[in-house]
Parts: sequence; C-alpha cells; structure tokens
Amino acid sequence: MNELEFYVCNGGKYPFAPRRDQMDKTRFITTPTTWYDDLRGQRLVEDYVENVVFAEKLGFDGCVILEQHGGPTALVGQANIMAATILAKTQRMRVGAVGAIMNSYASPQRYAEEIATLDIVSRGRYFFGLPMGIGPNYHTLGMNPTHAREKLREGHDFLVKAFTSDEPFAFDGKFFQTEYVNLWPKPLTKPYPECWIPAAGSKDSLSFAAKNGYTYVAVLVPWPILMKNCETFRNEVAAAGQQMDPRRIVATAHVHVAETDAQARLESEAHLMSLIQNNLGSPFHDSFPPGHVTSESLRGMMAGGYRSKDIGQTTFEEAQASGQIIVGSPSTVAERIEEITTKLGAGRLLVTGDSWTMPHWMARKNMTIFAEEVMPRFRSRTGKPIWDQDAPRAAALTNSEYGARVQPPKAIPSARIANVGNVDIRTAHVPELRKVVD
Amino acid sequence: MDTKLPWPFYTEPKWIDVHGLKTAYRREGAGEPVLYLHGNGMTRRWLPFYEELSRSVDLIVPDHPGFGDTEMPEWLDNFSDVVLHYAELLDTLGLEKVHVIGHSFGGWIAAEFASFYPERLKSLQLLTPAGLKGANLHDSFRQSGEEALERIFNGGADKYAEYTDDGDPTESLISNYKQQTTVARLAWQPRHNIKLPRRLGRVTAPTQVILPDEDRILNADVMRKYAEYIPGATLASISNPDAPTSHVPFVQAPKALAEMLSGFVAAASKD
Repeated sequence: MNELEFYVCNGGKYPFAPRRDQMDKTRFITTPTTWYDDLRGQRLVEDYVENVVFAEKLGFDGCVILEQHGGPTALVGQANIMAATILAKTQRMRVGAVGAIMNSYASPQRYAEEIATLDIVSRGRYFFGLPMGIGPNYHTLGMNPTHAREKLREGHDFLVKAFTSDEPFAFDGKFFQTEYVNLWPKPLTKPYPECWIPAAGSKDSLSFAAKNGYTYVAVLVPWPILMKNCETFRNEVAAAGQQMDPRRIVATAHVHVAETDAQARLESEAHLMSLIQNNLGSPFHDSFPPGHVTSESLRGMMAGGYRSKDIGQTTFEEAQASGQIIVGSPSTVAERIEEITTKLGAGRLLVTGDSWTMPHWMARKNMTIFAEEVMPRFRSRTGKPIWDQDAPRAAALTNSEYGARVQPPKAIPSARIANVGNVDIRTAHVPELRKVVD
Repeated sequence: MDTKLPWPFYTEPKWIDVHGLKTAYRREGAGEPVLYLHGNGMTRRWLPFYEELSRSVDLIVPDHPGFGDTEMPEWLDNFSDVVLHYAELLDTLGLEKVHVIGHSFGGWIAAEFASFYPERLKSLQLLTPAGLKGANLHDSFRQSGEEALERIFNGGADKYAEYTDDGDPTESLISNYKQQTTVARLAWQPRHNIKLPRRLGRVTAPTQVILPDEDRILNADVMRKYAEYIPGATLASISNPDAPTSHVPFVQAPKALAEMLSGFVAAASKD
C-alpha cells in the first residue's frame, strides 16, 4: 500500500435551509438568515470543532479548514479563526487553513501577520493556503472577479517578501501599495509555513504552485482532469529543477466507511446527495462571475469537459466513479484510496469526515472506523501519524496506532437474541452481519 | 438574409489603431458626425436601426475596448480609461467635435465622456442610460440567459429572433462572457459612479434623455435624473403602440427612434 498522510476536512454545513431546487439560484449567495437558528448554529459550530479536535486522538496527521462565505455553507468558513480555535484545543496534529482568500484583504500584510502568529502559537503545526476563492465568494466579498488571478499573484509576492525581508520595504504594486511593510513577528518556520494551493488546474496555477515549492490540492474538477493536472504538476516540479515529493499532491475525497458497503451507503447517501445537490450546485453566473475563468477554460467546458453540466445533477454512482466520493467497508475504501492515490501520485489524502452535514455521532463513527481500520494500512510506522515519532511503548497513543497493533480478540463478544441465537454484539446492528456465532 | 453570415446583421468591421489598441468600428452615411456608443450586447453587426440613422448622419459605431471585435487591453481598469480611449479615437479620426449617442452601458460611457470633455460634444443623447445609483432593477451579473432576454425584450424576445441569434453557441457564450467581463472590470463595484451627478453639471451641449415605454432593466425614475443633473437637458420618450418599446427601443421602433435622434442632431447643428 502507498505510504500516505491523512488530513480530515469536515464540512460543518448548516442543513436547515430549503433544498436548492426550492430556492432561487444558489444557496451560497442570498440564502437569508431567516433560515438560521441560533441554537442549531451554535451546536453545529461546536460539533464541528469537537470532531476536528477528535481527529488528533484518532491519529490523523492533520486537519484542514476551508474558507467559505455568505451562506449556510459558511458557518465554519473563517479558516484562520477556526484554525486558531482548533490549534488551541490540540497539541500535536497539523492544522491547515486553506485558506483565507487573500483577495478579500485590504492588505496582504494582515494575512502575513496572521500566518506568522499562527505559526508561532502552534509551534510550527500550522500551514496556510492561497485559494483564489470560488465564484460565489466574488459575489459576496466585494472582490472584482476580473482581477482575481492577477491580484492573487501580486498579493503572493507581497507575502513572500514580507516573510523573507529583514528590512522594512515599500510595496508598490498595481493592487496593493504600502510604504512601510515591516512584518513583526516573523514566522517560526523558515522561510515560512507550508502553502497549499487548491487549483482547478490551469497550467498557469500548477506551474505557480510547482515553482514556489507549494503543495497542490487536487480538487474542484473530476477524475480524468485531476490525473492530467497531477501529471502537469509533476512536470512543472521537474522543470523547476526540484525533486518530486508525493506529499506535494493531496488527493481529496468525501469518504464514508462503515461495517459493510451497504451500511456505508445507507448512512451516507442522503448526506452526500445533499452535499452535491444543495451545496455544490450553482448556476453558471454564480459559479463563474465575469472574468473568473479564462476563455480557454470556457471553451473546454462547452466542449463537454469540466462543468459541461450543473454539478448539482451528479448521481451517486457518477460521484463514486469520479473518485469524488468513496463509500464502503474498510476494505472497499482502502482499495479505492490505493487506486486513486496511485493514479494521482498523491502522498496525502484529505477526507471529509462528516459528509458535510452528518450529525456529530455519525461523523465520529465514520472517522473512528476510518482511523482504526483504514489508515493503518497506509502507514508503515504501526499506524502512527507523522507527529508521533515516540519510541515504542505499551500504550497506543491514537486509534490508528491501536488499529495497527491490536490483535484479534480472545473471545467474540456475543449475546443471545430471541429467535436468532448468539450474535456478535459488535456488528449485530447491521442486518447482514447479524449472524449466529457459537 | 444572407445565410453565409455568422449571425444576422453581421458586417465586416473597419479597423483603426487608437493609441496602440486595434479598435473595430463601423461607419456609414454622411453629414454631421455622430459617435454611437453601444450597450452591453448586439455588437459586431450593423443593425437596421444604424442603417436608418446613417441615412441622415455620418454614423460611427465602434466596439468598445473589450466588446465585440475589440480586445480588452491590459490597461483597462476604469471609466477614465474608456473616456480617454474615445478622445483618442476622435483625434485619430480627425474629429474635434461630434454628436454623441449612448445606449444603456454606452449611455454611461457617453455621460462620463461628456463630463470630461464637454467642449467636444455638439449634442448628447442618452438612450436608456446606466450609470446612476439605484438604476439597476436586477443584478445583471446574476441572471441566466433566459432571464436576460425576458428583461431586455419585455417577454417578447421570440418575436425578434434576428436580434438574439448570436451564431455558434460556444463562441457566443465566450463573446458574451468577454463583454460581461469588461462590464465587470469597469462596474463590478460600485455599479454606478457616485461622482457623476456633480460632474454632469459640466455638460454644455444640448442634451436629451430618451426612455422607452417600459424598461425592465433600468429604473426609469433614476434614468430621468440625468435630465436634472445636466443643465438644460430634456426628457423624451420613444413609444411604439404596436410593439411597446423596451430597454432596446431600437429593436421595436428603429425608424421612429432614428428620426428622433437625427432630428435632435439636426436641431443642435443649427445652433
């Protein structure tokens, strides 16, 4: 099996709003907060934080928080604030904010300060991202989409110079001007923390990520395009004269694992379909505000590639086939992860633990089985995450280590059920596993 | 109709180099020079309305930077860039003073141009003009093609297939996206110019503001304010009893509108 790092990326989406087909256009932009409920919102944010914190106990290598704004998808969308919250409640796991949308800052100086500060308070566990921001973000954050790329690149130049310069300097760009850029404090990690780039796959973006030594998050587009993107990224890394490290490609999937394939689908299908139908789907003008994509990309879409149809129309089977969702028993899920990470050449996997809307307990069930029965298969270090390099010891520090080290039970825990017989009490809630044992 | 045309009313543009920007334009007719600034759409063609108007004036219809066949230059950021482009276009054509007509988004450009260069206008006519705060009845950046057609033609788009036929669907989408991108470059936020009301006080040319029977794109009460802000400006309406005029009155009433516009040009030229 491939050696992989695992990051959890929960959704924490607010589900108590009408379906997208009952609403005008998209959920992202104009869903009124008349649908918002204070107590449900509080519960959702707290559950989200608890479950991401729980990922450390489970033995995930890290977590990632995504940025969202302006709708029921955005309850936990302030990536750096959520990162700070989770960092304060964890000790060793990596925490990434992928990330703040730099184009929404009046000055990259603010973002540089946040990154440096989070790097220090986390003692180097924090990493950041440079997403351009999806189309709906441009409708709700006052950013001009026609400058999206150009401004992001300029902001990046500003950031890098702020991180690496030891003298105050004047930044005099087209979009950002500051007479005295003087970053205090400096990041603890030199030259600055790891940066993840979620990119739809323009050669330009992939080349940018490669040249700067950043990590490519393979997201936003379907499977055949992802494979091509990863190939392009590797070529760009080679062209930049760097040695490719598979950890620089992060595969992403909404993963749900349960006792059997059927049970996993039963638990997750409605949540995943809601994810696809209600939270991903947007009409063209919301997904692609003017100038957000290039003419070449548009031509590709119209030719039947990416987004030639509304992604909200995707079926469960199509999402499975595309690798967007991975649902099944531990063995089924592990096989699919092996296949996908092999094809992409990815050394990291970013998984959704809550299918975006699952109740707290169901997300925990999924994450726990995943940590104990899937992750150890991809870890040569007896299930240990990257942050646990401690010498062998009696105790298992994480569920993943437990899963790697635990031996078959000395007795099958069982009980007698009337008219059935003695059943294994661990799996008797799944009809097909309610089998009579000795 | 010539079936070989990529879309109805297509004509080959003329080209002019305006300070390094290869600019597409169409020009027909003789007499008083009239610079017509188009709205967001129906570019790359010579409309029947243009043909009518060009019978009495020297009609110049350029594709704005980033519209139709004119590429969006990398220097285009705001309205002052467009205003200077038009000053340079007139310089290049050797025209010191012209009559200016602007429709919708082009009306906004015309108003900006008039406030910067009042001395270069012989007359100004604003046809369903954008540019003032509160004018937008909808978010034009968040409407589907069907919604846009409904609003532009007041539900009667099917009667004007020649005007809505843009040729190849892919190329049409790309062309429209390009034009929307230019509009967004100039007017994503804010969607009006807060300085315009004060600056319009500088306009000295005879001005009329022309409104249709019913406009579902821009608020008529807001558009009327142009006539308050521009000294001496008058209001006119272009009506058509058989097919009430919409945001694009040159579609429903090409002849009557051309007569109204050329009449104003003629009157302003006597002064």
